[in-house]
Amino acid sequence: MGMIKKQDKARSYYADVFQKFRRHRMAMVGLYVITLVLLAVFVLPLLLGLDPITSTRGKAFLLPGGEFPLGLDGLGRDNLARLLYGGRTSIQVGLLSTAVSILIGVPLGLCAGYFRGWFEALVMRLVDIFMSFPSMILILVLVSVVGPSIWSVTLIIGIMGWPDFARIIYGNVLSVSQKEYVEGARAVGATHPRIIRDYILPNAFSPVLVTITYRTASAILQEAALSYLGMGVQPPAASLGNILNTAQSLTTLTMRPWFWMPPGILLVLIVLSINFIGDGMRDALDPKMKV
Amino acid sequence: MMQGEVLLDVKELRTWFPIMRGVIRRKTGDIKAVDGVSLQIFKGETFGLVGESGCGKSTLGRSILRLIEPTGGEVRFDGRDVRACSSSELRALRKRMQIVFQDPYASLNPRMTVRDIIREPLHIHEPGIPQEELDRRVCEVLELVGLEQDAALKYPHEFSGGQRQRISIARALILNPDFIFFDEPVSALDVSVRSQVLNLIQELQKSRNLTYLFISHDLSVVKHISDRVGVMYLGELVEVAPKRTLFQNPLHPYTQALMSAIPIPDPRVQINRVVLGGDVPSPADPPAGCRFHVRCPYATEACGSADARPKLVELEQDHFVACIRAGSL
Repeated sequence: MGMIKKQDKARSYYADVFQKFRRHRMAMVGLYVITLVLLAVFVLPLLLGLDPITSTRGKAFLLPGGEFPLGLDGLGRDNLARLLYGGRTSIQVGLLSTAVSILIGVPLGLCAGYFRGWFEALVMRLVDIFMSFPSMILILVLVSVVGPSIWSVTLIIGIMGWPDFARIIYGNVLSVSQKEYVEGARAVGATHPRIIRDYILPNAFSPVLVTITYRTASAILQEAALSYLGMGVQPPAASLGNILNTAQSLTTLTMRPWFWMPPGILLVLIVLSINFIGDGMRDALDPKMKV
Repeated sequence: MMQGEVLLDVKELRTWFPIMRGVIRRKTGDIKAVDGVSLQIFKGETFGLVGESGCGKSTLGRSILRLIEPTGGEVRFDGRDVRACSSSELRALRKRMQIVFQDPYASLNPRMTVRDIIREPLHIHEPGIPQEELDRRVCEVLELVGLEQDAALKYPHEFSGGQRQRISIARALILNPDFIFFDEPVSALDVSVRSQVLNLIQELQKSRNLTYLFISHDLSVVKHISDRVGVMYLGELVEVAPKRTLFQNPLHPYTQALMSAIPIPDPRVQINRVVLGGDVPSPADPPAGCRFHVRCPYATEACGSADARPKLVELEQDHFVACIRAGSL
C-alpha cells in the first residue's frame, strides 16, 4: 500500500489559487500598479528625503521643474512630497478602516447566519438601521462630534462599513449552512467551532474578499471626500483629499493642473487597481472557476 | 440472519416541524413529517425504506441520527437511548452511526482535499493519532471503496458522481461504524454507475458486518439491496415485511398501488395497475383515522373515523401491516 506523498496541502491549495490569479490579466495589471503605488508612497519619499510639511519661504506657487518636479503649493510646500505622503495616508486609512469593518462585521454576520434565532434578528435589524442612514452625513456628524483626526476618521469610516461585511457573510453563511456537507460534518460529530472554521468560513469567505477590495476603495474615497470638506485629515498632514481641497480655488483649477491632476489620477489608480485585484481574487478562489 | 440481535429500536418516533406565521412568528400548526413510527433494525441486515417524495423517509433517518431533533418517541441504538444523550455522549455515539447523502455534489466540502475529507472523522474521534497511521488508514479505505491512492490529494470537483459517492462511503467507513444510513445514495447517479455503487455497498456490508438503513424511492433498488422493507406514507409506516414477502404479497392497499406501478420490461404483459386518485394530503393537516383512506380504493366509513388510526399488526410471520381491512382484502 503506497503512502500518500508528503505534501503541504495548504501550500498546494494556495499555489493553485495563485496560478489562477496570475492568469487574470486585469488583476495582474492592478497588482503591478498597486505595487508601484505602494513603493512610490512608502519608499520613494524616504529615498528622496522628501518633506511635505516645511515651507520654502518666498517660493509659493513655484512652477514645476528642477528640484521640485510638481512645483510648490500656495504655502511653499513641495507638491510631490505632499502627493506621495497624501497617497500613503489614503491607503493607510482605507486599509485600517476596512480592517475595523471586518473585525466587527464578519463575526457578527457569521454568528447571525449560523446560530440564527434572536441573535440573527438583532444583528440584521442593526444592519438595516445602519444602512438606512446616509452614511456620509452620519460620518460628518460623528467626525465633528469627536473631532477630525486621522485616527477618528479611520475608526468612524470603519464602524460605518461593518454592515457591508455582516450582510455579505450572513447571506453566504445562510446558504452554506444548508449544504449537505455541513450536515455531514455534524453527522461525524464535528463541534460548532470546527464546522465554522473548516466548513462555513472557507466556503462563505470569497465574497468577503471582493467586499474587502470594494470597501477599501470606497473608504479611500470617503476619506478623500471628508478631507476635501476639511473634516478629515487635518493640515499640515497631507491626504489626497485635502490636497484636492486646494483646487477649490478657480485659479488653481484652471491655471495649475499640476496641483490637482496628480492626486486625482493617483486616487483613481489606487481605487481601480484594488477593484481589479478583487475581481481576480474572487475568480481564483472559486474552485469551480476555470480561468 | 433474520430476527437476530436488535441494533436499532425506534418506538413511536415523532418529528414535527412548527409552522410559524406572521411578523411575531406565532406558531400556527405543525408539519407532521414523521408521526409515530416504530421499527426495529437487526444487526447485519439492510432495512429498505420506500415511499414517495415528501413522505418523511429522510426526516425519519435524520431523526434517528439526531441530525434533526425528534419531537417525541424513543430511539435506542444498541440499547442506548439516543434521545437522552448529552451532546458529548452523542458525539461519541456518532462514531458508530454514519450517513451517506443523496447528492454527491453537495455532500463533500469543496474546500477540502479528499484526504482531509476522509480523515476528518479520525481527527475528531481519535485526536493525537500519528500522521503515518492517518495516511495508512486513509489509503486503506480508499482501496476498500475502489479509488486510486492519488485521489487523496485532489479536490471533490475533480471527480465524477460515482467516484464522489465512493469518497462519501470512505469517509463513513473510516471510523469502522456499526450502522450506516444511506439516504438515496444512488438516485443522483447515472444508471451505468448505479449498480457498481450498489454492489460496493453490498460487498462492504458483508466484509465489515455493517447494518444499513437504506432509503430510496426506486423500488428496484430497494428490492436489490434490502433484507426487509418498510413502506412509508405521509409520515407513517404502513407495511413492514421481508423483501420477498413484500414484493410477492403486498397487503396494504398503498403498497399494492406502489408495486403495480413498477414498470415491467415486456410490452405483452398486461397488469392491472392500481391508479390512485387525488394527491397526497398535506402533512400539516393529515386525514383523521387511516391517513390513506381518502385515496384508498377499499376504504370504508370505519377507515376515516378518528379513533381508527391503524397500528402495525403482524398478519403473517414477520409481515406487519397498518390497515384495518388488510386481512379481508
